[in-house]
Amino acid sequence: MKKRLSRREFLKWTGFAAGGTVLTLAGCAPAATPTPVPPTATPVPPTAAPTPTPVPPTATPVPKPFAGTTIKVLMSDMPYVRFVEKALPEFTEASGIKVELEIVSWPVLLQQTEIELSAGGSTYDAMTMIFIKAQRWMRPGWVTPLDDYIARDKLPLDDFLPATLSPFKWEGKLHALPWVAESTQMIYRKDVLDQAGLKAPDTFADLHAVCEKIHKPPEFYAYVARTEPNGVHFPWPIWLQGYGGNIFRDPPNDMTPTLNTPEAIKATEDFVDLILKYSIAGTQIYDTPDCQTAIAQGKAGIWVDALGIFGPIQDPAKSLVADKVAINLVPAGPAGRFPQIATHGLQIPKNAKNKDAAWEFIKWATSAEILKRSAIEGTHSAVTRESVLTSKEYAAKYTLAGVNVGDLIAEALRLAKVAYRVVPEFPEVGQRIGQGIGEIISGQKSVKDALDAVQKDVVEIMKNAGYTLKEPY
Amino acid sequence: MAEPGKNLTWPSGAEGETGLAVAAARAPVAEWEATRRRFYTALLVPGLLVLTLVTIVPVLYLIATSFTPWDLSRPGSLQFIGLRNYVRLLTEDRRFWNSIWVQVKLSSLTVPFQMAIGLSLALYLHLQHHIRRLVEVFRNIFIIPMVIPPVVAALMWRILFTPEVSIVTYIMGLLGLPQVRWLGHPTLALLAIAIADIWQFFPFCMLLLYAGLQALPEEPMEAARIDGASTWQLIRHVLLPMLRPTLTVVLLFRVVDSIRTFPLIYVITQGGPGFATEPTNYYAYQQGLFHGYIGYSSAIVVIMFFFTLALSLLILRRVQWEGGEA
Repeated sequence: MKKRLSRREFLKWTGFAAGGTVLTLAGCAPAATPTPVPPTATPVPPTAAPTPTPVPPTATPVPKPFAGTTIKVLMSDMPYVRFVEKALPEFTEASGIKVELEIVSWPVLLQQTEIELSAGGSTYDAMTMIFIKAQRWMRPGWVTPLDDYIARDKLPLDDFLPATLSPFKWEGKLHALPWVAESTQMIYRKDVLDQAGLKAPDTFADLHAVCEKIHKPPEFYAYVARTEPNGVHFPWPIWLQGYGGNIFRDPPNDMTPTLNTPEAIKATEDFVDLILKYSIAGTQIYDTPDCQTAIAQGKAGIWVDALGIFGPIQDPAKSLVADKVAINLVPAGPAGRFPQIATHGLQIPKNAKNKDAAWEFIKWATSAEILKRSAIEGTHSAVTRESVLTSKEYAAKYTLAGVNVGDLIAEALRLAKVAYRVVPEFPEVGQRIGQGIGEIISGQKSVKDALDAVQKDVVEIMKNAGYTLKEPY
Repeated sequence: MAEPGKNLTWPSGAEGETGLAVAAARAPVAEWEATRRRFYTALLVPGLLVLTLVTIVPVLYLIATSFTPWDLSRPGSLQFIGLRNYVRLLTEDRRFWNSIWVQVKLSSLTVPFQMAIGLSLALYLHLQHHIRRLVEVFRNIFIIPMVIPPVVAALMWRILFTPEVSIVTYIMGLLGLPQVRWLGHPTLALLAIAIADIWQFFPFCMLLLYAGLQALPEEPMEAARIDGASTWQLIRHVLLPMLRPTLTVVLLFRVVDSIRTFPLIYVITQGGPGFATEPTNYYAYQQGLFHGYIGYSSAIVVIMFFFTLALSLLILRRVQWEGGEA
């Protein structure tokens, strides 16, 4: 016998069901994050071994006052981060800290970190410390200095490459630990060049010549380049400085922009010519994943960009050409060879809720062991520790076509002149340059007109930021 | 002993007796009305207060911020500089004027087409509305673009506009047509955004206009039919004139909404190539949230706000004029 539900009955039972569900879910919710150990707590118990000098065989044992703590970390999609993601369970087991690692694309990381820090947010306990943003973030005190933690745990810093630590120092205090010693390099299809009887290009002229010979559209494009406005300002200065130009006249002393000088125009013409003639991207704006895919799927031959993003191309699981590529120094221009360098690290935002736990994570993630494994087990070749770069295992894995990538990094660090990159205004300047290059590539403006417009805008940016500029500009 | 009511000049006699009774009844009623009004006001005030707080106060704060050069990364930059942001915007900032031009182009492309497609479908549905099944099926299918989360729609279109992975390119290749690099060409990129936008919002127009048509009186239509009007004459001379108020409202909604296009720009072109697809609100976002120039960005937004307000009032005025004539 079916009983017909009246509307009132129905609503009553729905209400009970909803209420019951809510209560059940509330009961099942994970325990709230316990109050973290206050920073001025008693130091680490003496039974815990102090962090040893380079290359410990096992993970540093961490005492477990953090059991049950969860931290949120924000990083961008790079080979190193993917390796850390895989190794997180080990960290959780050793320390009791659960890590929610959020991985986003590079332009999104730039924005999200900026928004988080400028709003004084406490959503994330650790975030990538971005090279070009570091000065801008340290100046208003948005980032937690790490000196106290380093002193407390007696963490030795001499294994880190000096060039990777200095960008994160503000008023003498270190604000991040570095994990990538970024440098621009050139990755290319050695088999294609060998087949054509060509050597790796050494100068810009060589590069044009080689591209001309191996360019066979639509199956194979000789070149690919990242033209996304917030990324193209990393490879482009290779050409700018290679032709004798610079972003500013004499950084950091004379910060007058010099973006429409004859050298800048010549450099940009060369840069854009390669893209328009030989790049699979054509006039389309390409970002990191697009370039990686183009080479990994065997559709493009040469890419001049950051070493840290070459990873997926060398991963046999992701690339059809993992064993066919080689890496060499960026080509030189008439004025010399100027690889660009950068370094990114891990930092703790000012208002992070679990700073101690975040510190444990940062220590672990930048430890010699993890960095070494990210290089050997992963595809992160741009490590920041000298012990790893000079190790046998690294040499064995990263010697391609007789060239040890570790040597390339050292050479890039030696040749680079990136004083222009570390000023707080650079992110905006870089983006403006990127947009100008986008205008040239899409045919909206000639090289001269676009650079004149860029120069005008960058002069505005620098003036508004309070710099005194010297004529002519 | 003074008699109550003696001071009042009531008409005397029987009439006065009744008048007095009525007046005696009226006074408490009037008082009760006033009490009732006060009660309603008292109940509304908290809600109005919250509404004011939540809408007016942030706008005032926005306007106040627009008079400062506030840079989030520069402590101490929250100081009053008067109209300097506005002067710079209106006289020196080419990128601002470019963004306005891009917005004008975008709105002039998307709104007419959305309305045209929406109106055509609404008219068709209305003239066929006796076939319930058809109406239901149509509605269910055509509402999809509008209810998909905007970011998902944007991603979908981005894939469609990327030659290497797009099915459209594949089909065009089969037909022997050349590959089109939508997102690398300034005009095509804008067109791409417009196409995605039209696809996304024509259902809005369709639904509102269909509802408007359904609400129209049947008699004029029947009369015209009896008089032998063709379908086209029916539409042009009977339905559309009656539909004008609804059309105006939909137009207003779409124009104001088109100024808010963000997900499509953010996901598909990020304002590029160059600045070809950077409308004003995206420019404000770049200045404010990407570079941290909250003060300058507020000035852009304030200009947008008043411009949109003026536009809305203009369109609404037209409705009143039309209503007056009719």
